[in-house]
Amino acid sequence: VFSKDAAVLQGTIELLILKRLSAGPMHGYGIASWIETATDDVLSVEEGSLYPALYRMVQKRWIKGEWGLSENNRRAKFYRLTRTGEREFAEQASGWLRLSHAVSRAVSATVADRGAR
Amino acid sequence: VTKDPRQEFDDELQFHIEQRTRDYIAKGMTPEAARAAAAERLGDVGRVRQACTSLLAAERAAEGRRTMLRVSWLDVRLGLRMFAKHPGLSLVSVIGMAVAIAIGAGYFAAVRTMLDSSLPFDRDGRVVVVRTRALAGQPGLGSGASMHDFEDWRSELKSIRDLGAFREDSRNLITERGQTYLISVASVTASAFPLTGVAPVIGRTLLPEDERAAAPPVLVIGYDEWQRRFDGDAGVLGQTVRLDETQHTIVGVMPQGFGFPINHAYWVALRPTAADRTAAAPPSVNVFGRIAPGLSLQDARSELAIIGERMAAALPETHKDVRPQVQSYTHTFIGTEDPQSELAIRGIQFGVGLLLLIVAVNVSILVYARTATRSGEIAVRTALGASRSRVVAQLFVEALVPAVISAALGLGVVAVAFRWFRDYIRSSSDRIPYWIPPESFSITPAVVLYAAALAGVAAVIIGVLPALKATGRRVQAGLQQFSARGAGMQLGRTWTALIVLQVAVAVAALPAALYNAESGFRVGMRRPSPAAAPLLRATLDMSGDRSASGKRDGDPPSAREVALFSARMTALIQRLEAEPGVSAVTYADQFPGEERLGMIDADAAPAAIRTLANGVATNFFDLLGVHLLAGRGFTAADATAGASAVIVDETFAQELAGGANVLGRRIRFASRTPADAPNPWYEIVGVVPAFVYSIAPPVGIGSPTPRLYRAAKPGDTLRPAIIIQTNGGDPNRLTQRLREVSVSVHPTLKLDGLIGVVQDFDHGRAVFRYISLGILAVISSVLLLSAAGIYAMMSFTVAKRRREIGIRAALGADARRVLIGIFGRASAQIGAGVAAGLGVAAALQWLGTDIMGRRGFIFFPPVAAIMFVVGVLAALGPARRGLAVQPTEALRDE
Repeated sequence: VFSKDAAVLQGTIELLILKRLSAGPMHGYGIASWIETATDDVLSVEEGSLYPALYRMVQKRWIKGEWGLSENNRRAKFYRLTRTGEREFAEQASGWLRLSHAVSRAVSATVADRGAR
Repeated sequence: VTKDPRQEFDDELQFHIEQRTRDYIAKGMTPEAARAAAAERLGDVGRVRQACTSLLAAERAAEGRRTMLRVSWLDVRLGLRMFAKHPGLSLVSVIGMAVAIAIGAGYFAAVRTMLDSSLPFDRDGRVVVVRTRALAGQPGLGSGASMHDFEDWRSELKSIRDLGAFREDSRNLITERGQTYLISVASVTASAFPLTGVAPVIGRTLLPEDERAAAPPVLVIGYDEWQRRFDGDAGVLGQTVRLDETQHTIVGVMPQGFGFPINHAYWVALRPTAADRTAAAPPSVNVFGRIAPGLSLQDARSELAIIGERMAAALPETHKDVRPQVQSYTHTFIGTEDPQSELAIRGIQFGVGLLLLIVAVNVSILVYARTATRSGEIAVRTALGASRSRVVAQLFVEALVPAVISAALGLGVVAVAFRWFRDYIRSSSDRIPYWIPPESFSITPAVVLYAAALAGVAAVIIGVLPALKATGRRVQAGLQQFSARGAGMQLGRTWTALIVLQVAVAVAALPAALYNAESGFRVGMRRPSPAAAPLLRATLDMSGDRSASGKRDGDPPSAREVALFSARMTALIQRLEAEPGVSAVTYADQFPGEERLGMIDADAAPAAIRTLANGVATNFFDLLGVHLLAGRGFTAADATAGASAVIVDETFAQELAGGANVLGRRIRFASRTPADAPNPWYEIVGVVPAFVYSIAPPVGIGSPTPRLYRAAKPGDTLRPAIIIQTNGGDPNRLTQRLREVSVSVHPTLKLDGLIGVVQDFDHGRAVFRYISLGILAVISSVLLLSAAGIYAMMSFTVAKRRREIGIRAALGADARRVLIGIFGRASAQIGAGVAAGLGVAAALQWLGTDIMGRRGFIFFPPVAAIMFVVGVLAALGPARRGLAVQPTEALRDE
C-alpha cells in the first residue's frame, strides 16, 4: 500500500506515525515495525516510503528528529511529537474515527428501497 | 552536530537496514538472504533518498533563518536590558555619540547639498565656466574673463557649445508709479536662455538682437518679483521701468524658481562697450557654456589649452601670463572650483568622522570596563557551547542599541539645526545660488543612511573590540577565576596608561575649546549700543555711471569726479536730513568694523602698531553716542586738506602709551618700503572708547584692535558708509522712502545694504551664539566622556584591589593608611595626566598656535580640578567597600 497508493494514503501514514509517537519517541525502523504489527501486516510494504513522510512532518513542525542511541546501543534518529504534533494527532484521530465509523456504518447498513420514502 | 543532508539520511537508513537484517536473521534467514530481503523491503532507495535529501536541506535552511531571528531578537532585548541596567553608562555614551553623529551627519548633509548640487537643467554637470587665470607666480587678475576673450572663445571653441556671458550689476529699479527698489541685474547674453531650456511664463526671453547697441533696452523679470513688485499683472509686458538712468521695456516673465545665472530675477542684454572689447580690458564677465555632446571636460581642457597658447603668442603684451581654464559651473559659484578646496572640504568630513571615532573609542573603554566585569558570564556562555562569534555578535548588538538611539538623537539635532539654518538663509541678505533652495538643507534618506553607517561603525568599535579582547582570553582561566569574585582580566598597566592619556587629552584640549566657546558666547550675547537703536546703515554706491564714462572700478577718481561725487553726496545728505522721520545723517569711509588695516609709526614708540583706520564725518561720534574720553572731537577745519588732527580709541592709546596721556603725540602711517618718502605726521587730539564692538556686527572673538580716525569729507571715497539717525520707532520702516530720496538726487545713487544697525548687529551675533553652542555641546560630551572613562577605570582598578584591601585591613593595617595608599595612587595617575596635558598645551602654545587667546589659561585649573574630583570620587566607593569587607570573607575568597 505504501508504494502505489502512497499519495492516497498519505494522511493515513501520517496519522499512524503520529499515533506511534504519541506513545513516546521512536526511530524510523521502530515506527515501521509498529505499523506492521499494529495493522496486522495489512500496511506492510516498501518501508523506504516512510522516510519522506517523516521528513515532511518535520517540515510541518509536527515532529522533531534527534540523534540518540537505540536499545542495542546503535546511533539512530529518534522522532518525537511537538506540541503542534500533539494537537494535530488529536484532531486527525477524532476526525478519522468519526469518518471511519460513519463509513463502516453506511457500508454495513441495508440500502433502503427508493420508493419507501 | 550537523552533517550533509545526504549523509544524514544515509546514516538513518543504514540503521534501518541493519535492524531489519538482524530481525530476519533472528527469524532464521541466512545473513545474505536477510540483507537482500531487507533491501527489498525498502523499495526504490534512490528515489526516496532524493526526496528526503531535498526535504532535509529545505528544513535546515528554514531552521537557520528561524535561529538567526530568534538569536538577534534575543540580543536586542539583552541590549535594551543592558541599556536600562547601566543608565549612567548609557546616558554618557548616548550623549557623546549623539553629538558626534549630529556633527558628522550634519556636515555630510551640508556638503552633499552644496558640493553635489547641480543645475536643474544639467543634472550631469556638463555646463561649465571658462575663465582666465594668471600663470603661477604672476599677479592675479580678479575672476572671470574679459569681453575680448569671451568673443574670441565664442568664435573658436568647438568643444563647448552655447557659450554665453553675464555680469552682475547693482541698479535702481524705478517703476512707472515711481516706486524705487535696489536690485541686482544680470547683464547676460541671450544664449543663456536656450542653454537652460526654460521658457518664459509670459512674453519672451532675451534675443540676440537685444544685444545690439542700437536696439531698444528690454528687461526680463522673475516670477517672484513680478508678483511682489508688479502685482502679478499680465499687463506688465510693455511697461517701461528705469534702471538707473535708462528706460527699459519689460518683455517677459520667467517661471518661479528660475534664477540663472546665480540667483537673479532681472535680466538685461549684455552690451559690451568698445573699451570692453580691447585686448587689454580686465575681466568683467563670467563665461559659461555646455560641453559638446560626446566630448568630455578633458577634451574642452585640451582645446582651451591650445587656444590659450595661440592667444599668448598673438597678444604677448596682454595674454603672455594668462591662460583660459574650464571648471564646474556650480562649484565656481559656491566657491569650490579649486580642486584643493573641495579636497579640503571632504577632508574635514573625514576629520569630523574621526571625532566620532574618538568618542566611540572612549565609549568602548567604558564598555570594556563593563565587559571585563562580565568575563565570568562570557566564560560560562562559552563553556556552555556559545561560539566566540556568537558572543561577539551579542556584544555587538548590545552596543548597537545605544548607537542607534544616538543616531536618532543626532539626526534630531541636525533637523533642528537645519531649521535654524533655513530660517537664517531666508532672513539673510546673503543670497545662495538658486539651484540650492533652502529646503534642500534637510534630512534626506542618504543622510539617514550615513548616520546609520556611523552608528554601525561606532557599534563595531564599542561592541566588537572589547568583545574580541574579552573572548580572546583563555576561557579556562576565566572559568577558574569565576569562582573568585571581582576577578577578570588583568590590565594594571594598560589601565594606568589609559587613565593618564584620558586626563592628558582632556587637560590639553578642553581649555582652548572652552575659551573659544566662552568667547563666542560672550560675543553672541553682546548688547548693541543704545544709541544704535534708531540708526540705519547703508553703503552709498556712487560708482553707477562711471563705466559709461569709460572708467573702470579700480581707477582713482579724477578731480572732476571728486567734485561731482562730493556735490551729489552733500545734496543727498541734505535731502535725507530734511526727510520727516530722519533726525541726522553721518558718514564714514567705511562702516565701523569694516575699516582697513594699516601700520602706524609713532614718535618715541619702539614698534609700529597694527591699526584699523577710518575717515569719519565731524558728527560721526555724536551720532553714535560715543563720548570722548579725552581731548576734543573733530571740527570742520579738521576735514580740510593738510589738517593733521586724528582721534584714536582707547585700545590704540593703551598700546601706544600703556594708559598714559596720548594727547599731542605724533603718529604717521608707516611707509611701504624704506625707500618711500615718509608719510605726513598727524597729531592725536582726542581719545574715544573702543565703541565699535557695540555697533558693528561681530566678526571674530579676538581681542580689540587699535583704531584711528581722521576727519573725512564727502567725495573722499566712491562707496562711503552712510548712517542715518531716525526719530524712533523701527528704523527699517523708512528704507523704501529713503531709497526714493536717493534716486531723486541722482538715479545712479544707491543705498546698498540699507538695514537697521541693531538688526544687522543681531543677525551677526546670532551666528556666534550658534557656533559657541555647538562647541559647548562637543566640549560637554568630551568632558562627560572622559570623566566617565576615568571614573570607570578608576573604580574598576580599585574594585580589583578590594580583596587585597580587605586582607590588609584584616591583618591590622590602619584604615587611614590604606586609604592614603589608594588615593595616593589615584592622584598620581591623574597628576601624571594633568602634567602631560599641560605639557602638550604648552608645546602647542610654544609652537605659535594661539588657541588659548589671553584668557584661555584660566580654564586649566577647573579642568584639572574636575579630573581630580572625578578620580577621587571614583576611588572612594570601592575603597570604602574594600575596608568594610569582613576579614573572614576576604580570606575565604582567597
